[in-house]
Amino acid sequence: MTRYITLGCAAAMIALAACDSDKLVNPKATPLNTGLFKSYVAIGNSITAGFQSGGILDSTQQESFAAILAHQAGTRYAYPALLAPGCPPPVVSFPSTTLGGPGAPPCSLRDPRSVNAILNNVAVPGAAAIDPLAATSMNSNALTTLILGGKTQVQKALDASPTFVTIEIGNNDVLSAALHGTTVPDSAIGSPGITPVATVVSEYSAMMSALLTGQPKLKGALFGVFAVTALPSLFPAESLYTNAQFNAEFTFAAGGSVTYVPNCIGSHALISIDILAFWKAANIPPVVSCQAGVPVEPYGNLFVLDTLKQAAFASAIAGYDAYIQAKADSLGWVYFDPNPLLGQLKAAGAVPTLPNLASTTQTFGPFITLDGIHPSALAHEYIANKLIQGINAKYSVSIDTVPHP
Amino acid sequence: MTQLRPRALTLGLALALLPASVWAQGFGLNEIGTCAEARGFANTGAPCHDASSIYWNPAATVSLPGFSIYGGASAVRLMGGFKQDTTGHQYNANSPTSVPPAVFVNFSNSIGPNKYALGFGFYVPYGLISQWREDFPGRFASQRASLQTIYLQPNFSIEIIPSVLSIGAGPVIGLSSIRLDQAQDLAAFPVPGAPVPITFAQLGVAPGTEAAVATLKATSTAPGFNVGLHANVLPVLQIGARFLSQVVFDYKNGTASFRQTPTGLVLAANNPLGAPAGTPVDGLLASQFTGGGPFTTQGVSTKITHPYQFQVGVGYTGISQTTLSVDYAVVGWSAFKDLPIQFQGGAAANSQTILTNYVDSWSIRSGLEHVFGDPVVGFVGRLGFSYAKTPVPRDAVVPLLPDMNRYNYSAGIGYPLTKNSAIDLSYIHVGTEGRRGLIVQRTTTVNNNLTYAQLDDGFYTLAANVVSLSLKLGF
Repeated sequence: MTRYITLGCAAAMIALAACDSDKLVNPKATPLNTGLFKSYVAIGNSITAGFQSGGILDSTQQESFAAILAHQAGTRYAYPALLAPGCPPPVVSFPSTTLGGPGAPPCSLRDPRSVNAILNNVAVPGAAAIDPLAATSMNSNALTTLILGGKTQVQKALDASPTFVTIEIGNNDVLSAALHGTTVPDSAIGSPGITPVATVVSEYSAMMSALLTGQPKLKGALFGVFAVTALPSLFPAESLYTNAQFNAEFTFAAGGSVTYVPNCIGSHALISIDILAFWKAANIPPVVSCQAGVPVEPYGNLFVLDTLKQAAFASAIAGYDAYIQAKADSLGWVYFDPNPLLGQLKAAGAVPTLPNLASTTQTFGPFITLDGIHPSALAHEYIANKLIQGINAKYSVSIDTVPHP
Repeated sequence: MTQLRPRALTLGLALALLPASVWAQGFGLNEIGTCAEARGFANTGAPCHDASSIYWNPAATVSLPGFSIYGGASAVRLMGGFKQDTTGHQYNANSPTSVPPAVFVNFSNSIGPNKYALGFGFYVPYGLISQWREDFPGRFASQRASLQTIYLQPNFSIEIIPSVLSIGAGPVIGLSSIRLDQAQDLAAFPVPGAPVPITFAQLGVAPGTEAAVATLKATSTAPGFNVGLHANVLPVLQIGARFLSQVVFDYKNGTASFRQTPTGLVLAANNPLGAPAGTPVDGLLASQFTGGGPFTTQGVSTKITHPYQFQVGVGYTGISQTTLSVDYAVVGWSAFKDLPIQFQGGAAANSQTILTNYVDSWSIRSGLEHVFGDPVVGFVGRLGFSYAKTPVPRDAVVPLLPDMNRYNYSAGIGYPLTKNSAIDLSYIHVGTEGRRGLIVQRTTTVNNNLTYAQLDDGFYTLAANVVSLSLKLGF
C-alpha cells in the first residue's frame, strides 16, 4: 500500500549504512531452512516491501515482517536495499519533513553494495492485483524498476525457486480509492476507484497458477486485505464537531480557517486526512461537509466516505478475502487475516481512531507510521508473530515468535 | 550518449586469454606420448624408448635406433562442476572432448664412438578447452575458452661420453591461438543516457543478466628452447634432466567481437530514467553495438607467459625386463602474476590487468614398465601414478581455470605389430578432492578490495579420463 510516490531519476550515491547482506544471505543449515523454508519469497506491496512514513530505504526494509519471518525461520533473506535517504525519503516529522530535507534526491537508487541476483523479497510498493504478472501497469513507479529490474514479481519470485511464499496483494485495489473518497475511478484526483472483485479474483488466480506451475510443491501463506477504512488516516467526521481539541488541531493544519457544515453530525462518514493536501492543491477554501455537493461540488464528496461508500469498500474487501481464503484452504496454505489484529490494536487504543495532529512523531500512534497507513517496525513484529503462529499451526513447525517490548 | 564500459568483459577476457586447461597443472598439458602417459609422466630419467624423448629428454634420443617415428593423440574427457553456495544449484561443465596430438621423428647415427641424433617434435604442452553451460553463473568470467599452443622443436643430441652421458637440445617455436566466449553482465553496464554515471544494477537489474556475448580471438608466435641431459650412471641406473624454457607470447593481433543477447526486460511506467512504459532495455543498448560503441568489433592484445618446466628423474632397470622410474618436476608458474588486457577500440578506456598471482608448482611422478616375453618385440605393460600440486592460489580459482591438486592414475600397454612397429595404448584417470572457488575474478580495479570470504561462492569438482593411442615405427 502506498499513497504518493513522486519520483525522478536521481543518482543518489549517498553511501549510508546498508544491510549486512552476508548475515542475511548465509544462515546456518537447519531442518526448517532446508525443508519448508529452504527458499522463502515474499510477494506483495508496500507493507511487505517495508514502506514506512511515505518512504522506503534500507533501514525500513529490514523491518518488514518478511525480514522478521525469514530471520526467525533461519532462512536466506536478500532484499533490494535502497540507498538513503530513500525512494522516496520517508517523513521524519509530520506532516511533511522528510529524511534528508528538501535538498535530498526524491528517489535514491539501489545500493550497489548489496545487489543480489536472487531476491527473497520481491514486493513492490503500489502493487495491486494486476501487478504480480505485469512488467508495467498503471500502478508502476520507480520502485517497480528498482526492485524488479524489468521482470515481474512472479518471475523474480520464481528465480529463487521458492519453497515457501507469503503473498500480500489486494490492499492497493481499495486503498487509493478510500483515501480519495471515491469508489469509482476519478482521473482528476488520481483515484483508480475500487477494483472489481471479479478482476481481483481473475488476476489473483492467474498469479497463483503461474507460481504453482513454476513451483508445483510450493507452500505458503496468503494475506487477506486490510480493512482500509479502519486506518487512522480515515477518521470519523463527527469528531471534528464533538472533539474541540481535535477540531482545533485540524483547523490549524488546514491553515487556520475551516467551514464545518453541520451535516456530518450523525452521518457516520469518514474523512480522509488527505483532504488537507487536496484543499491546498486545488486552492479551494477548506469546507468539511458529509453530503455530496453541499454546499457545492466537490465538497462532501471527494475525500469523504459516507456509509454507502464504506459499505462498498467492505463489500469489495469481503469479496477479495473470500476468494483468497478459499484459495488458501484449497491449497492447504495459511490464510492470514490481518484485520483481527488491527481491530485488537484499535480497541486497545494502540491504533488511534483520531490522528494526533499536534504530534510530529506519533501522529498515528506507535503502530502506524507518519503516513497514517503503513505499519511501524513494532507493528511488523506483531504481524510477523501472528503470521508465525499461523504457519506453526498449519505446517506443524516451531518457528519462534519475536518477544515484544 | 554514454558509452558502455565493458568491465565484465575485461574481467573474463583476462582469464579468457589464459590457456584453459584444468586437467593438468595450471594450464599445462602433459599428454605428450602414450607411453609416457601410461608411466605417470615419469619419463625423464628413464624415457620411453620412442621419439617422444625429443620433448621428455632431448638428450635421450641418441639411444633410439636409426630412423624412428612416434605419433598419436590423447582424447581428454572432462567431468567438472560447480555447486553454488547461495543457490545450492549444481552446474556441470560442458567441455567437449579434446584431442591434442603429438608427433615426433628422430634419426640416430654415430660419429665414431659417439652416437648422435637429429629429430623434430610437434607437441602441445599447453592448452585445452573449458566450456560451461549457458545457465552457469560464472559464464561472465568464462563461457567457453580454448587455447592451443603448439611447440615445434628441432632437436640435436650427442653422446659426450659414449654409452654414458649425452646431451640434447633444440629451439622451440611456439604457435599459440586463443579464443574466449564470455557472457556480458547487464548489471555492470553503465546506463546509456543517464544524467549521472550509474549502472543497471542500481536500477534493479539482477547480476547475471546476460546482455551480450563477447568472442575474443588472438594468435601469437614466440621462441624458446628445450635442453636435456641423460646419463647411465650404472648398468641398471639412469638419471636425466630436462629444462623447457618459458615462452612469452605477445598477442598483439587479437580481435574482440560482440553479439547482443536479448534480455526481454522492459522498463516499467514511471521508471527512474523517464523512459516510456514498456521501453525495451535491449533497445537502450542497441546503439552500443554499432558505430563507435564499445561493443563493436575491435582489436585487443595481451601477453601470456608459458612457464618453464624443469624435470629430473631416475630409472632403475635392475629387475628383469622391468623399468622403475621416479621423476620430480617444477613448473615456473610464478611468472604468471597478472594478465594485462588492452582494448584497441571503443573499450580502450577499460583496459585492465587481471590478477592471477600463480606460484611455482611441483609434481612427483612414478612409473613401472614390464616387458613380457621377448625383450625386443614383447608385449609391454605399464602403470603410473603422479601427484601434481596446483599453482593457483585460492583467489584465482575461477571458472576459466578452477585448478586444484590432482592425482593421476594411469595404465597402458605396448602391443608389437611387427618387429619395427608397435601400438601404445594408455588410460589416465585424473582425480581430485575438489576445491572451493569463485565465479568472479579480480583485476587491479574490480573486486580487488573484497576479501576471499566475500568472493568465495561454492565448490568446484573435477575429474578427467584420458585415453591415448600412438603408433611407433622404426626403420
